[in-house]
Amino acid sequence: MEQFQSKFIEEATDLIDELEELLLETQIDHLPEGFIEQVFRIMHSLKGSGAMFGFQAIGDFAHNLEDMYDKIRNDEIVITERILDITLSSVDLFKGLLSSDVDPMVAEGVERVTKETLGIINNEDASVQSQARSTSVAGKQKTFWVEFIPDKDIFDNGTNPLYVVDELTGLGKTEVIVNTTKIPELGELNPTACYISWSILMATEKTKEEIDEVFMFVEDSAKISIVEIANRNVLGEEAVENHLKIVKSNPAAVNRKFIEELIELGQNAEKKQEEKKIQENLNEFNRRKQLSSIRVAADKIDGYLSLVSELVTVQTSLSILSEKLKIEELGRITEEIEHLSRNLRDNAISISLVPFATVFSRFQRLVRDLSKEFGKEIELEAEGMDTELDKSMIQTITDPLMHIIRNSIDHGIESPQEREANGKSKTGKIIMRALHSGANIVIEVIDDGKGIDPNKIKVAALRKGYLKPEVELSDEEIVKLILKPGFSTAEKTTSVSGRGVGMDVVNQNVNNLRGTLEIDSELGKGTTIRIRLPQSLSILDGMLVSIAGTLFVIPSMVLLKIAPITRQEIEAASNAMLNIEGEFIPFLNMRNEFGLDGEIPEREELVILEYESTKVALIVDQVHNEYQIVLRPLGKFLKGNDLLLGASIIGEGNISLVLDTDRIIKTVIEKQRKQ
Amino acid sequence: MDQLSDFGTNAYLIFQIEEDLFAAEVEKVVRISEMPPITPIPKAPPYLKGIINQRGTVIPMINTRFKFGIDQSGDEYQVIVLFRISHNEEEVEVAAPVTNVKDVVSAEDIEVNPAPEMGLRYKPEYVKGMIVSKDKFVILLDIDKVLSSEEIINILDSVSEE
Repeated sequence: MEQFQSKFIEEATDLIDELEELLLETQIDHLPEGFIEQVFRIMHSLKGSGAMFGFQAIGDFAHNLEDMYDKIRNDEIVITERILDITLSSVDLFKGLLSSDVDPMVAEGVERVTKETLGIINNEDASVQSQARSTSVAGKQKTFWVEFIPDKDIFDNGTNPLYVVDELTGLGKTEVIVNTTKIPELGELNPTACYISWSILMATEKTKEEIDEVFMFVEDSAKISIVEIANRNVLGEEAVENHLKIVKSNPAAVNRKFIEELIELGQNAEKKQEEKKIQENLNEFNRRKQLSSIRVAADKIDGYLSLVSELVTVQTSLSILSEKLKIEELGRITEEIEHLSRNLRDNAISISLVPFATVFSRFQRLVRDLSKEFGKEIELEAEGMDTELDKSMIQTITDPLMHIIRNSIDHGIESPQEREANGKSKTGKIIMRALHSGANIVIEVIDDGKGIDPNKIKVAALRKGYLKPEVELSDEEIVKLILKPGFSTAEKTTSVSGRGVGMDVVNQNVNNLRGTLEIDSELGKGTTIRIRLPQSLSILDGMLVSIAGTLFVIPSMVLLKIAPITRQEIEAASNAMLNIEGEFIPFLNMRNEFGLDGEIPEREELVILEYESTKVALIVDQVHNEYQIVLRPLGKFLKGNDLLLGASIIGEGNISLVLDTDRIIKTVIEKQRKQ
Repeated sequence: MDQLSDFGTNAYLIFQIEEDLFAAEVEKVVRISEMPPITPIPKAPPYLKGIINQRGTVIPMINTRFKFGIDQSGDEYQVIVLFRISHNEEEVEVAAPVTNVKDVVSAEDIEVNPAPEMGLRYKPEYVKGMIVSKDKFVILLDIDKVLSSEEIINILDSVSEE
């Protein structure tokens, strides 16, 4: 039973998350298609399985909500803002009910929401009585049959008919049928003539005239006809689809009769069919869901990843051995295994990556809740939400991001009145952006609020002793003070709903992930917080190099180029810059940086890396081969070593250290700046 | 040395560093092995010798000579003891090279006496007590503290350093 219960909790959590996501993208005047059905289905599932697995409270709670949505879909109740709010508040309550030890606050909330729900169901509130069902229809769509038969010489005036087709398909939902039956035998084909025509069934909110406008530039060189089929979207309806099959298999069969029949089908289809369609869509939705993903426990994925890691380690040993033995056949097999394990590794990594979008709803929720709380109008925009992060990384970075957004809403974005007085739009904006940059992942939170006031920071810093009165700092440097450990007085509260935490704590959390945090702030204009995270993945490609007899690994992700260099050239370098093929590149002599002695070879090698958006060269004794390496943590004991990402076991069990080139370069630059 | 566990948790491992004998609780000992190849870490603090590969795991290795205030120029010891210690309230594995491993004694067979206040060469906070085993004095170390601290535990050495 216990095992079933944990399964239920997992499934219920999924359903609740789905519900939350659905609600957050929903506005009362623009309900997404199938919204009511989907909420109904979720409640139905929660009710059924909740009761079955001993979560009676969840079952009962969902039961009433299910009833309400049942009435909504039967047009007995009109959905209102209040109903959406009730549903949204149920999300947290469901989550609360899932915990083994239900908080009395949750129980109270459940009671309150249930009472309210029952009130609505029993028509106690006249405002929700049904008048018309127009609210549940999103946008008025019509279906058109469009034929586009270009003249043979359409190419002559430089028109590409495909652009026209592209533009048409952009107007709405379309089903495009291409007629290629007029293309002649190759011998007779004139390559500059157009033999193709298109028939398009499209559902759109546009009018016939608007569709006609698309043809503005081709109307003299093509035959065009546009016929209205139905005053709603009939695409995907069974009867229509069946009818379309006739012309799909034989595009030449498009004629007057065909179109007339199509119109008849479109008009005939009554409400019954619409309901059937919803049901079909729903079935399709469920079916797709089952096929396109399966549920795997996280520890199974971890197990898979560690097995792949071990395989990669062994494979690397094999590659090194094969290089040593120089047996041709062994070399070939080794190469094949290397290729396979590389694919396997990439596959394993991709499994453990999740798009940023999976946590985005939490931020939406936060902005929605907090802007209400603070009486501010805020719009949250997302960019690059398909950027993928390691699943463990995404979990750890969510909390710091929540705090950053909280700070933006609390301290950054002004009240609507203040914004208007300052000539800004009433609604403030927060942009959340995720992107790849070199080997890093960058997450930015940008607000257009009032920015951080350096004077205020300065006063606080002086008072707390973080700044001595005689020290002159630029505004930029002063703003950075808020990242200093212990700067904020706020207690360390982990819950976002409680008191916010200071940026110093957020910075610490980001540093613990080996990431960095930057602040750009302009008074009156807004603040940008930029978090840079390393690729947390444990398997990577690395270049094996030796420095003073010790082997190190440089991650290949940042590697641009390798070039030989002589002692004289290094000694001749001026201003710590090397002239490499006409380009001046700063360099670090790794032997000196690491304080290693030993004989310096006459010829050394340069490893040119990407750092931020510039190039930096590292001087090493020798560059060996590239290997796939498994990054192993150095452990708690060595934490705080800034030069290394970790260690890797290669060859016959020897350990090589994997360099954190970003940190090494950054440390040197900071040291130089101070001097 | 898998038979270490036969003694249960109430036993002490006795090992030798140069001429001195030391003891640590057996429950803190993971295994004893030959000295593996060491990978030095650039810019590491002096108490750290480097890292080693122990059955696929990367383990830090302490510089015992530095920690016990012994001349650095001599040959490195050829035996390591792998300890599992508590470090900042977390369990970590740390390796320490020793001259030799002597014995395992059951707690029932010996008596742990308080460390003398005078005459000991090691800082008292690292010493839990004294054991007499086979007519020899053995210093029972607080191995958690010894291995997780960053300082030299030898009194004389740290005095002469200043």
